[in-house]
Amino acid sequence: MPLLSFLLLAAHFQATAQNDAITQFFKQYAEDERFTVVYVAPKLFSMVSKIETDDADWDKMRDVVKNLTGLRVLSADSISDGLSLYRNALDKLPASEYSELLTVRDGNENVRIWTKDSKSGSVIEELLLIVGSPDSFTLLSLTGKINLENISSLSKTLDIEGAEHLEKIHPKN
Amino acid sequence: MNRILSIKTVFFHTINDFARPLFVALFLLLGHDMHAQDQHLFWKYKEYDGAISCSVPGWVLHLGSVFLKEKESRRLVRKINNIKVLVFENNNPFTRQDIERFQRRAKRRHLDAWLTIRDGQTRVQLYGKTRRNNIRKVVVLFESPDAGSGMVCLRGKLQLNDLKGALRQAEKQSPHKNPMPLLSKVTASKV
Repeated sequence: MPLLSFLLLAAHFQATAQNDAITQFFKQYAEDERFTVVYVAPKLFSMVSKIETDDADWDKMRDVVKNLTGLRVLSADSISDGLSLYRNALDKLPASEYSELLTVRDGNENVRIWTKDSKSGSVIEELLLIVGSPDSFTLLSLTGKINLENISSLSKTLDIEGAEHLEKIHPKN
Repeated sequence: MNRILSIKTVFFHTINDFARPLFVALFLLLGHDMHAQDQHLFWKYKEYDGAISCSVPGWVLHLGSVFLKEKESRRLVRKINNIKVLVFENNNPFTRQDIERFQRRAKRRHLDAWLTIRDGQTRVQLYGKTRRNNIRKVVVLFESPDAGSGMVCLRGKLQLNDLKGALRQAEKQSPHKNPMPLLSKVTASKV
């Protein structure tokens, strides 16, 4: 019994530590003036999802937005250590928790998209986009019940550098 | 025995006479204090050197709304109970402690952080409070080396439907092509 309690406690702390790795990364650079930081709370997503229109595109977007619970973006476009930040972010990523969805290297630019599956495995809980080049870096974390079929349409709505890489996601991947 | 009873009666009557106004005063003070918890930054810095502050009550907004051309804007303004604006042109006197205190109190009063954007030295924080699908309060804290710093606090009972006009106007004025659908078509959900 004490062994079981210890194991449960250890598992809990490990899960917390993994979750904190990305949060800590955001916190580390949240006050750094080289970076642009955006945080959208779940409440705002739920409010936006209540907006109805006659537009079919918006209805599709609403379906995506209503299941989102948060968006965090850390972006810098004129830095000298973009690649080291990219590697640093990848090192901190708990690989056991996330699965790689997409990797693109185009010249100096590296793009990686990771997903965290829900326990049931049918939905994605978190989508992590990491973009690194010598002079720029973007880390985007989207949480909620994410449907890969619709997520690429979000890239047009998010007017954030690096978010255009979300268009590369196709459910076939 | 009778004398003791009469002293007792007089004593409790006297206490009651004092207690009633005391309780009323206490309730009023508590009410004011509860209101001030949210408005702490405004009350603290409204007299600060270089501060531009104003508090516009609902009835003034209601009167002013007559001069608005658009019907939707008029309807929106009439649903606002109070606007408080506090602007500092040159400096930002808000300390880290002030902001942390505000955030603590906001959390306690169900004023949720909706959006935070920081780009270089420019920072915008949006807080809001909703009740039954109505926006009851919006607080914006901003800080920019060019535009100064300060806060805007808006109280009222706004529905998403009411924001339609304002959003449409913002859409027209925006220099960027908005990928969102025409907001003129927006109607509030009955969810």
